[in-house]
Amino acid sequence: MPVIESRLRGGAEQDERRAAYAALVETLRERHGRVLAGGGAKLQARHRERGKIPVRERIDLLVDPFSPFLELSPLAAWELYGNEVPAAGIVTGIGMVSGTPCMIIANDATVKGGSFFHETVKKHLRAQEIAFENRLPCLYLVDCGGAFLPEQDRVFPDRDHFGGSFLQQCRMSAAGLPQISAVFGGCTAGGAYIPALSDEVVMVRGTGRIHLGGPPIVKAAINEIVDGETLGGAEMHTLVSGVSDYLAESEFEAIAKLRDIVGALNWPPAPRPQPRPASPPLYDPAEIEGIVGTDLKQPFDVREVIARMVDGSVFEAFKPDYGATLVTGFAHIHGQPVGILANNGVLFSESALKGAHFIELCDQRRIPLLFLQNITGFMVGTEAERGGIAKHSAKLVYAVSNARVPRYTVIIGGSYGAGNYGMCGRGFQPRFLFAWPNARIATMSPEVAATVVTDLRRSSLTRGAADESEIERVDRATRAQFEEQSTPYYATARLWDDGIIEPAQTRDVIGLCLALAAREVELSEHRPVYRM
Amino acid sequence: MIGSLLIANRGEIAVRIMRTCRRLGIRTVAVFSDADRDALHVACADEAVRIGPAAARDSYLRAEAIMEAAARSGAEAIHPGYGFLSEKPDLPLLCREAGRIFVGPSAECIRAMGPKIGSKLIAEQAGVPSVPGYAGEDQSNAALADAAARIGYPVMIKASAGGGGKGMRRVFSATDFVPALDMARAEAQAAFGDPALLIEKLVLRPRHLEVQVAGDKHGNIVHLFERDCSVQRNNQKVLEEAPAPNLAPAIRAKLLERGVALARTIGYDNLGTVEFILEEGFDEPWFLEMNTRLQVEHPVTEAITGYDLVEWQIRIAAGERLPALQHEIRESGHAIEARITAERADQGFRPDAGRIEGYREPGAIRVDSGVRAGSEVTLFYDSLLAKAIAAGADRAEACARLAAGLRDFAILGPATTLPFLADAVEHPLFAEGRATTRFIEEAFPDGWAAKRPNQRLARAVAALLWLARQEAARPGGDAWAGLSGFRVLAPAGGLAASHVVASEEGTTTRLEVRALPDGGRVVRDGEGEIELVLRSGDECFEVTCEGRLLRGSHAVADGRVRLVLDGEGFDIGLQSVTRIAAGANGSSSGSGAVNASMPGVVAEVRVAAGERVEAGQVVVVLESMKLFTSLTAGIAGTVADIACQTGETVPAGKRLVLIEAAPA
Repeated sequence: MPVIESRLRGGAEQDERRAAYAALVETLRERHGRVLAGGGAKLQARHRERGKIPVRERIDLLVDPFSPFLELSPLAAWELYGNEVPAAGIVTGIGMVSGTPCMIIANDATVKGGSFFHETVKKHLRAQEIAFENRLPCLYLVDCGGAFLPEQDRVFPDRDHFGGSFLQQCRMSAAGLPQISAVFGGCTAGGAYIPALSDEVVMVRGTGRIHLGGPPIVKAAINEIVDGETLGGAEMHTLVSGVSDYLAESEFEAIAKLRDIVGALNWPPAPRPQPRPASPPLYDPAEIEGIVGTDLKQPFDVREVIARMVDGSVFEAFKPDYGATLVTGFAHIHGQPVGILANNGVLFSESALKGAHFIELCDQRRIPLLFLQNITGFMVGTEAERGGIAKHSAKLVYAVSNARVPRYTVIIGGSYGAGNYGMCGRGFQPRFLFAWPNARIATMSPEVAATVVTDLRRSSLTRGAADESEIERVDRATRAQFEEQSTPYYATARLWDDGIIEPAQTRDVIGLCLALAAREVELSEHRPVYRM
Repeated sequence: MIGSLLIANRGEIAVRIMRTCRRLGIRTVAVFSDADRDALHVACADEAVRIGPAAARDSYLRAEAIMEAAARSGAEAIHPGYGFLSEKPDLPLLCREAGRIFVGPSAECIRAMGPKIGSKLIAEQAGVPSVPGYAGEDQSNAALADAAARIGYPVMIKASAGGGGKGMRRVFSATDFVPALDMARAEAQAAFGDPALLIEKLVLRPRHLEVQVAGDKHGNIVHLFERDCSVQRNNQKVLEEAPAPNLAPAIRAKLLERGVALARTIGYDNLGTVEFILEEGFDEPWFLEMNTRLQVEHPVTEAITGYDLVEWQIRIAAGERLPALQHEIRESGHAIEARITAERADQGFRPDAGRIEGYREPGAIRVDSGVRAGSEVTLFYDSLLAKAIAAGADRAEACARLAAGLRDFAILGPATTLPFLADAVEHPLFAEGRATTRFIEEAFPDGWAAKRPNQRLARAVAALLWLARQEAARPGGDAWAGLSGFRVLAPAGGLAASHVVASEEGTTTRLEVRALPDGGRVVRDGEGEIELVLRSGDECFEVTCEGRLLRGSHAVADGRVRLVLDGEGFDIGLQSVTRIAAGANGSSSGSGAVNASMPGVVAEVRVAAGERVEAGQVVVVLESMKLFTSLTAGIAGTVADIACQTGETVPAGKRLVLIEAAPA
């Protein structure tokens, strides 16, 4: 290939030009230098005193060590507002996180409390536009004070104002681009939507706040007196409301979590993802038998089972502190990524919503789903019904039914009633369904069935009053029927499953199934993630 | 000549014997225990046979298993190496029965030299004196005092039935003798029920000298000069050399003559070593014992004589005559050997274990090694990893070569004695050839400690190496992967920074590393800033700092950087600040699991199921060789499970105890 041969000759003219240009560069550097100081030394120091990390250091900590960070419009708002809003109070740019280039949008709380000026919004929107065009996941490091009120008419109402950023967020999600937030400070009013519209959210205890209206507005509106932490703190949102998915004790921890989240994105979704090198679990799969046992009434922690099934026993739990009776999380089996849903008790509304949310994540990220069923059913009772468990569990059923990624089910314990549906039973056509020798599958357990049937007999009008011996006969017959029909051998003989496998074989069997599916992932059509 | 040889040993000596076999065209058979399946000596052999579980008594010490392996592999001959079965008559006897050749002396020679007292009697008959002493029946004060005077002060009084220091007295002059005698006698009576005493010459500052002898089955006996092995710790040799420095020609003549005389008396018929001590100021070497096998330190003799002693052993065993007669054997130059062991020289030579992550031998000196990169140093055997042997026209040259070689030698993983050995070789006492067996206590009166002038620099280099490894792991070959530390604002001072925590021997240091646009790095620690330029390959690196260019070797694995910088070894743990904050499980909430921090044996379980524990309380003590590590509870609560037992061998990362959090 031809090489350009330079004809440049040194000389006075060259030197002159160079010297003149050096002055230009000097000016640029001097101005950039002022941007680096953010809101100034005093405010930076106060920021640190509150246990908070300056925005550029947050970015250094977030990106892969010494990977490039392509910062955008650092001189936004230069010489506007008396030059008191360096970089428009927001740092945007593209950085590598866990090997994936991401758009990073980070508020600088040392600049006017991180509030939004006209140029802040414009820079925010421009960053989102670039992310959209270049198909980059978006990471929002939120530490903002909402609109800068004196300027609200230039921030809030118009087409390309604040609302536009939420539109972008929703449309990017629909286009399959991950939206992730870490909440380091306030997210008030509209600001609350940045995390609430995100696929996954990390919140820092003590400093992170999400509320549509802060304590002063709450007092003014409904005369309720409440402190900010109770109203919208990290613990409340992670454990109670589910607006946040992970509780971090420090900003460092939140950044580490953000890196893990990006690491589990399976990004970019490729027609044939390269499997990671497989590594055996840290713990012996043969130990599963001793964990599970043969008595379905004896609960066990399903994470102990997962630890003996997945590569390196590494499991990135999703929403570990919310709806804990359903364990959800990302792992690899024989090098293939997999999203696992596993029962750790009765399903509540929260567990069902969490499951539906998790399935959406996997669906968007083209990560196959593995259901480890050990379920007696959904929670019953007045409280559950008033809480709308029927519609919440239906969301899980909906998500299970319409997920486009390959689904696999292993019955590792009981598979009773509606739980069977929510956890992708045979009727939901998982690609493969296997059972363990301790599995039981039926509408309900023999004990419950006997109670139901004897109660029906007692109240039967057509068949008249029953004496105790008949009740006892009915009871015995029902028990016998359910006991016989719920055994895994009864099930496998009728091809309700694809075979009974030993617990220790499960990792290998699922590994083989996942490798088959890895050869044919379709990539058209994206779906958004709705925070449930 | 022998066609095939089984080596009933492991480690460097097995590898070294195979090297000679290869040169002589002899097929080699290795034996291995379960712990040594992937060991270097197995990889070096033409064939290898498993002989049992890891423990030596179940494998390398089982003569029948060795014989069975020889039968299965069709080995014509067996070489015992040193240690293990080498000084027991079992193998030669079994070989005789099975019609195989034993590469070593006859069972009779081994038996004759085995017992300490018996061998001394034989030596005495051969005119080879041992340490002067009196063990007569006349126990009167007068007789004993006479004996003491004859032996010459200082003397040691010992209980005949003795042991454990009871009834022992050091006496430096005749005036103190009788009172000491009375007390020793009383103690002996009390401790052993027998008042009988021995008198022996008290040896204070001895040198350890030995004569390499060789005999064949045709009655020829020669010596191959002497060695000085005075530098020892816990009676184990550390540095060995040939010839002995500063040895009067008359004493040397006596030494060699006595060695040959003893060998001749017992009709010695292979290679052996006759050991002596020489007390400072005396001109009589006293016989100590005879080792009827190849010595660890034989390479120094090879270096000054030019012979391959393993070849000698094989030829003699095959019935050939000695390859050289006395008048043909010449010496030239000087050679020194250093034994490199997996030990903490700064902690009383406590053994260390683990995987060797990086291994690079120095050039210009001989190295006999039993390990390579990837070798696992286990809990089961001797801690000797390799020997470095330097030769020179004179002693000063050999010393200089050895010290340089030791400082260039990189064994990255378990702690080794390399830096200690280099310091020892360079110590004036050794350099001047004045070392006695008390060398280590005299040269390092407060115990040896690494000088570590480069500690701060090493920590900075380790951080850079660790970061470079992260950078190299970035996917894709594009500008995002290739550009290092790029920032639009870098020319304005907005440098890319990384924050890491370095931990070493219980101290942790937070480091901020900034990337200069020219590729250099600035490392800030608590003391200030260091500017460095690092170039690194997979194993070696070069670092420039304040105009100084230093080289080293490194290995990065499992969040640890092991490196050798200017002859000093470092083992530094590294982690990003964020990962540290997040904890090992990605969550800062304390975990109730107590996991094995390294592979080892459970030495002690300090809690019982159901017991209440406080956060920080020691629950399990883990032992790796002699290294005890206390594992503490991460949270307060109740012990919910104990998943290990005392004595159990556990892998790193295994959960040993589970603590259920106390309700808040």
